[in-house]
Amino acid sequence: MNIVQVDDFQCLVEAATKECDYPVFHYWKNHFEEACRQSIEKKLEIMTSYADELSVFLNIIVKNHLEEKRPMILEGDFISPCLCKKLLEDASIKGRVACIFVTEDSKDQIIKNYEMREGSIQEERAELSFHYNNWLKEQSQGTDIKLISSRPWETAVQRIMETL
Amino acid sequence: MNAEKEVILIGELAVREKVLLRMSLESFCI
Repeated sequence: MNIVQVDDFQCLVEAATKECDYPVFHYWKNHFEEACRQSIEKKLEIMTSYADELSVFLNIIVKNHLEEKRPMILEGDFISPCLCKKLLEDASIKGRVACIFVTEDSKDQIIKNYEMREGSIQEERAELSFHYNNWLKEQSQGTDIKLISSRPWETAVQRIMETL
Repeated sequence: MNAEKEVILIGELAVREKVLLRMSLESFCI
């Protein structure tokens, strides 16, 4: 099964589109200082808008893999709950798609994760990630999207597989 | 893995080491 990273499509859309056509794809990169000054609510809105805008492109990728019968795991942030709901409710592909969000409910743990991953303390980024995590959980309520706690890390993959 | 699922979307953010998760998934799928 192919493992496909959403990060690659982020690179692609940011390189292949213009800010005048898709402002949200270019906001953080082109207006970084302004973005950093925004309230946490506004930052979250920018992030969720990015995910929703990107979902148009990810939907094409998913449909293409289904049509070509090439199984795929699509992994990464910016997978929109709206995209998941749309795919899960699509009767023409019923039962062929599964959607899972891996969650982390501790902001302190997210800070540690960024430090482990990138070697620096990133409290503001972690704050935004914490809110985005909560938003994903809220959006998933009452849907067929599965929520899996990231911890214990050792069993995360096994628990994902058991959910499918 | 449930063979009926052809496309699996896994959203995650700041979950420790994404690379580790990817490697685990890859090894699971081989």
